[in-house]
Amino acid sequence: MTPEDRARIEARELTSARSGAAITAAVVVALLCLYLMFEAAMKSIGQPAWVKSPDEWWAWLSGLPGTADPFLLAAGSLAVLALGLFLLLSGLLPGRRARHAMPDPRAVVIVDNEVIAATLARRARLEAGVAPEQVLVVVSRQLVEVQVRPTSGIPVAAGAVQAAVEDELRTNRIDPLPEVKVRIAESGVVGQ
Amino acid sequence: MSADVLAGHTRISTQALAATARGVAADVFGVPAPSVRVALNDEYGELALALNLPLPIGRAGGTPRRPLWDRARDERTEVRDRFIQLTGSRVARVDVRVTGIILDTSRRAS
Repeated sequence: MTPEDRARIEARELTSARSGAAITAAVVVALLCLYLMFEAAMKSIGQPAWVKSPDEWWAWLSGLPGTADPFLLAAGSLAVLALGLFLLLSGLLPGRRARHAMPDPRAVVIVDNEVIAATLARRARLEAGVAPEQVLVVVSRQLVEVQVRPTSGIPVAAGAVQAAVEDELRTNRIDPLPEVKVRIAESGVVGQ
Repeated sequence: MSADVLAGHTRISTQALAATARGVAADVFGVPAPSVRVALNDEYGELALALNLPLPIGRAGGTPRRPLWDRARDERTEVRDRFIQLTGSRVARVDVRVTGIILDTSRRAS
């Protein structure tokens, strides 16, 4: 497996596929073109048009607000706008999935962010000495947010929790290494 | 936790904290433990103890005790210190509500 292969496979797993949107767009455009070609052919062999001839379509399109039902027109415009936005954003946004890659000499290893969050939460709660339900970890691409609600009367050292979580991230060789933010809640939980 | 500490997790349950507070308060104020009611609350990450208990008063003719109010107020420090010593939890406040009095019968014998 060459590095290029590895990069390609990782990218395929880390970003969502655009094939669905691309296929839909291609099918819609192809059908539209087929229909227009069919109408043009009918006109060229002198047959009556199936729905409207190309000339009539142009006339209808250029005089558009015209006599059409305004509600139908508005609904159609919104649908076209939504479709356009969807296709545009599909093309421009990176489409990252909630996953991270882990380097491994023999295989491509991809981990869901929930799994990383569970690992970090376990480490953080052992470090802080609190119950599992007192720790909340959210993992995104660049940032790990750790929220700890201390037990009343037993202060939690934010620095120690931060160091432990960073150590856990390094141990698991998460790539790219996210930044860690630890927040200790002001109010605590009585007992455990 | 550093590496030389044995791996594991220690927890003190709410019931244990409440029972400890009840025992300490009963001991400090000199009342039977079942007559003490304890509520535990959170005070910005530290513990707040609320004690509801009757206080003993001396009978007429016995050695005069300090006023109820002063005892209820001043012995809170003692309750807090002993509670901290036993449980290791930080206590930010101790509220005492005197719900009644107990006639001190121990003087009658003498």
